[in-house]
Amino acid sequence: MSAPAHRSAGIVTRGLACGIDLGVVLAVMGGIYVGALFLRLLFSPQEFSFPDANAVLSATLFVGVAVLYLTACWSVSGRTVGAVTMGLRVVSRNGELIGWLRAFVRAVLCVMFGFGLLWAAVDGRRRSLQDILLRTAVVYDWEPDLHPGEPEI
Amino acid sequence: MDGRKAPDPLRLAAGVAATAGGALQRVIGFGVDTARVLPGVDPLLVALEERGTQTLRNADELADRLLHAVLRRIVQVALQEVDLTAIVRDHVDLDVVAEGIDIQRIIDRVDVDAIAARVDIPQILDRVDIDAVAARIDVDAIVDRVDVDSVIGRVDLVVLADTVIEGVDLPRIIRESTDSMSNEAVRGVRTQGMQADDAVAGFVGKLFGRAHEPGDA
Repeated sequence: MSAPAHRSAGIVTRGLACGIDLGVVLAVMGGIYVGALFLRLLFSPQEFSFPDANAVLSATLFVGVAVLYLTACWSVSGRTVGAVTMGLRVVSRNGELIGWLRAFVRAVLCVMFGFGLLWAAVDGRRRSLQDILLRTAVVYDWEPDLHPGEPEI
Repeated sequence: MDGRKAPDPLRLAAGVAATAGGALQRVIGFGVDTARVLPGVDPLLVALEERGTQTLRNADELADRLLHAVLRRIVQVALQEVDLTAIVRDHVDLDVVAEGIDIQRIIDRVDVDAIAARVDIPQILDRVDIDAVAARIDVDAIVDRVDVDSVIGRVDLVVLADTVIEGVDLPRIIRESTDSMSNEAVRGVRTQGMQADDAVAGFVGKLFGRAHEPGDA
């Protein structure tokens, strides 16, 4: 089956991609947590005990990891792990990759206001609230490399 | 008698006959030479000579044939009467004969390749009943006589396994198989995701009464 045209992706693929990315972020957090445990065990093995889960710290870590991850992925290739799996790419209105700043702002908005994605289900052009604000688009793109072209938004 | 030995009548007769024959030959020779001078006699003499030659030749052939027939008959009768095998056995020292035979020289003169070239191997094979031969072979007995453990003990299995593994490009096989598997799986997920997207968009579009499909704008 040939790759589809670069048209806007809908709520289902984008939701699944978000779920996969959430799993990736949680895995990274788990890795950081285990790494921190080993560090504590390494430097103070005598008084070692499993730390209590700190909600604020965990939430902050989650937001930090997620924003860092999304910003890096969107600005470098436009594709996160979830987007690669579902064949999506985040591009600007003219089909180019979005810059670092826009990627960062979009990452913050997506992490803090994830419900904005739901607007893609009802929007006529399948845009989330973040897309509308930052003039970005999420398109189907199965190719590993970016082929710039006017997306049919 | 003057002391000389009395003449041998036989030798005397032979001498008389030879003298008479020589005189007769000379007389005939003289007669022929004389007659040859006369005209018309020479051709007659030539014809007579040819006739004589022909007659002698015919007589020679007749004698030959007669002799052959007689000899054949004599040998036949002799062979019937005589046991040659018994004679050879009784009177010939076969050991001495055999010692005189140079077997090596005979072998050297035999062209084995030429003999082999004349042998029709396929025809021989056709006449051999392989199935019957195979049926007579007791495979179990052969297997019983083979000491598999000692054979395995003599094979360096580690080296053998290393050689086999070196010959197999395992990473490439795994890479190719997983590549194709993951490609198929990913394509399936992406395609179904797109169909789900379109289904949701169609449902929402109907809900809001939109006339056109999202994404067409």
